[in-house]
Amino acid sequence: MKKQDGILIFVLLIMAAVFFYGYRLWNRESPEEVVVYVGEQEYARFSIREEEEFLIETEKGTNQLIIKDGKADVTEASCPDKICVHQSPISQTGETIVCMPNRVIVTIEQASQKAIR
Amino acid sequence: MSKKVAVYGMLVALAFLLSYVETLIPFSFTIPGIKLGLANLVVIVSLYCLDAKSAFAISMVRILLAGLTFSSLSIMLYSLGGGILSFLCMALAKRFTSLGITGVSVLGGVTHNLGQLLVAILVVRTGSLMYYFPALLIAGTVAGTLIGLLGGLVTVRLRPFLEQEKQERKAEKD
Repeated sequence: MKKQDGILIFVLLIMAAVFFYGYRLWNRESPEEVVVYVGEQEYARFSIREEEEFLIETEKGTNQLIIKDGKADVTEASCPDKICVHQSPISQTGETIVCMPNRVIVTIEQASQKAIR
Repeated sequence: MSKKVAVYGMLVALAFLLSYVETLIPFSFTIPGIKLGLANLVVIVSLYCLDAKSAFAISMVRILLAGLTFSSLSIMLYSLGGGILSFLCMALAKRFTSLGITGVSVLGGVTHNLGQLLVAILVVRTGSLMYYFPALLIAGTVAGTLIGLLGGLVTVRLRPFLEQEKQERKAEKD
């Protein structure tokens, strides 16, 4: 491995750390909400503090959303690939679970402002 | 010509096979899109042993084949975004910077993830996916380092054969 390669790796890891903590600092204030989009349309919105079991029904299929202990998780889906189900629960602003086949997006937003879309 | 076809066919087959091997590795999918990128090994070896044009062709054929066989069209779209961006960056880095094969591979890994992320953002129109950028950056760096080190080992051993093939081809032309 060349010296330049090592430098590149180092710089990239530093960049990752800066982005990670920068993002955390940037979105720290207000309470968070779980927002469900189907396509471009907002479909439902819950406080992350609630306990909720909610079935997202779209033309293409369904996704079961569970909000518990300040985390949102998709536990069942009608789609074949189940990427959204395998994803771990989300709790931080900006974290997103996407089900491509059903065009469902579950994301965490700040209550006060709409996230950058 | 027939030799060229044979070499390219072999490399495509190898890349295709590695894509398959990768589907067998059970990865806990905390974040979609994180994987080792074994098939990139073939792309980087082709880039160093053959030339940029051939490596690009092999990469694209691999993505099409693997996309149609092992995943859905929407996932293929991600791979295509990542594949094209990472190939461009790797080819440019190899040509214009003093990075070694590991550095080029790291750049490829990171930009592959970046390309996928950009496609995802375009598809679902959600800028908030940038949240995953740091994690993907780290994953790309780690995977790229591994593939780059491996690629270095393979290149040293494979180059004599491919060079020989190239020279024979030249001789045939003359």
